[in-house]
Amino acid sequence: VNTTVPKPVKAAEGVGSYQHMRGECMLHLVNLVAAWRSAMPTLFGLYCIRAPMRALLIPATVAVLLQPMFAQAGSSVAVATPSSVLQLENNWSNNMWVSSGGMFYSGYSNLDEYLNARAPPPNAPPLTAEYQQKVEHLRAEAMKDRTSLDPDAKCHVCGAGCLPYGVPLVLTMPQPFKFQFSPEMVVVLSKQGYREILIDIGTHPKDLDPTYSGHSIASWKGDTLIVDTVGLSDKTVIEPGLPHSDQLHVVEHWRQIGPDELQNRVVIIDPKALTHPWVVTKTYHRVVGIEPQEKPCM
Amino acid sequence: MKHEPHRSCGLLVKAGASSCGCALALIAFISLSYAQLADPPAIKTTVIPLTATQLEALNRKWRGIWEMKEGQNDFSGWKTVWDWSGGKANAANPPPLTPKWQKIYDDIRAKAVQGENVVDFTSACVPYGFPGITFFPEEFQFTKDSLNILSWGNSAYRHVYMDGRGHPRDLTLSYNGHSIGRWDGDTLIIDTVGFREDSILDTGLTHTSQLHSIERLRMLKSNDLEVEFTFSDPEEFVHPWVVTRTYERVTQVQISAAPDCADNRFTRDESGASIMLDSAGKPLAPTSQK
Repeated sequence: VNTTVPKPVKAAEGVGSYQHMRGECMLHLVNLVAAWRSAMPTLFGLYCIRAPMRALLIPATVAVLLQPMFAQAGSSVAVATPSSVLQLENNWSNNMWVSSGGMFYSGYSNLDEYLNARAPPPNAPPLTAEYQQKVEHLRAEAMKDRTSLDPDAKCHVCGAGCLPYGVPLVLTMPQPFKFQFSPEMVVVLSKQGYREILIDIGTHPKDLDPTYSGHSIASWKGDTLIVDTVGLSDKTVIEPGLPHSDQLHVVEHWRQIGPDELQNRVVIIDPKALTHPWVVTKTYHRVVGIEPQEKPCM
Repeated sequence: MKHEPHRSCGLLVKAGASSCGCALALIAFISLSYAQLADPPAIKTTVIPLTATQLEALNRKWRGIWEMKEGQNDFSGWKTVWDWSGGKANAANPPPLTPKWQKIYDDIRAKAVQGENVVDFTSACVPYGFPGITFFPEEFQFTKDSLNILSWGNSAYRHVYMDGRGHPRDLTLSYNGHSIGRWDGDTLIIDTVGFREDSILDTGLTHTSQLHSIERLRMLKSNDLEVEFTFSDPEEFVHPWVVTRTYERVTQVQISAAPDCADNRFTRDESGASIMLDSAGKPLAPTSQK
């Protein structure tokens, strides 16, 4: 993968940006401390408390009062206005992003770790009995032929039948992607081709023909872009060695958690393969100095 | 660009400057010319960013799926490769080939008439590349600084930089090339270079890496789009080859990309030609050219 180690990039400083949110918090902090000090004697009857005791109580009370605000600062703005959404879109589309972890949702670092594992992974998928058997079968096959697990194994020769990663595997593979925003759609560009996500159209069409990227719709909720995908082909896997059915439903929750870091809380739903929704959080870091590239062959 | 320094020199003379001043201007002109030679493709222009309202209006105007109108064939005018193999008619708009490339073209045609599959690179699911990709329906997405042309041909896309940059000097060759775009009134001009040599320009016709394409896209009516292609290749053509195509908006409802080669919807028949399959895996009519 042709990536470079991301250098700290100064994020936009407008409304909704990380810096803006931190600045806003500091302002609230100053105001709250002033308000607390003026209200303290009458509200809490603490005026007569000795100074050393006040010195302990003041920071503790301020911390309790500000706890929700700091939690909010970590998750950025609570309510998105059209302008703050534009700021986020601008910030996200300026560079490419790449997954920070391995290609496994379950927590394995790589294929070797998966094959050599003796214990359940850190975040084991809640498999149904039917799919538990399938997973064990695929793992046994992979012990004989390791390439059967590798999503890129067939991609070295043009026309060899290399399959696209598909959703949701594409969200964990270490391949840079770029968000592109316009008023009615979000497009994700990568070597996989493009993924089209329609904004605010409400529902998916009926009778979808299954594809690797499926049919995606999205909307902004506060500072979080929620992407809902159905119509996914069962030819791909959720992660190496983990198949899914054609009833797979993936809900992504994208938000910015730092100047150069995005978080995606992925909810994977498949009534045939999973006993209950599987929730996994992935992070992505900004990659500077590269541009979208086409896939050399299918 | 080269005329500008001459005019500057003339103004200097009119202003009563000495011959020394004109000589300095001449030196400056020579320096400028060499500088241009050292960096020929990178022509940066200043672009005024679109407002959010303008961007929304632009996307609304170009929204939907655009499909080539019926009755249009290859750039040269052939209907299909099968038609061509039968040798029924001459091309309506033959490429102005140099003698060397005319021979290459004729040899491929002769083999095709013999039944050889020599023109259909896409049967191996190799990307169609530009301009072959323009045979497929496509969508346009305008962003703050780029245009994405989303094709229904193998989920390929063209990323067109609209931020005023030029083409890079050390360009990596690709199937779709490197594209920069700009507006000339209501006409969108897309300039593309940097093509790999193993993609198709037209049925039975490849090109060199020197291929240079200029597209002029113009909305004739609300649902009619005209695209004028001008192909230049100093090794292949004796003069630029101009082809005009028209597209129509087929629906206002946007749906995901169609199943494609990546979805295993293509296979080969006994002769090696590509055949598209329906969702049940049954062969549809030969569709390698569209």
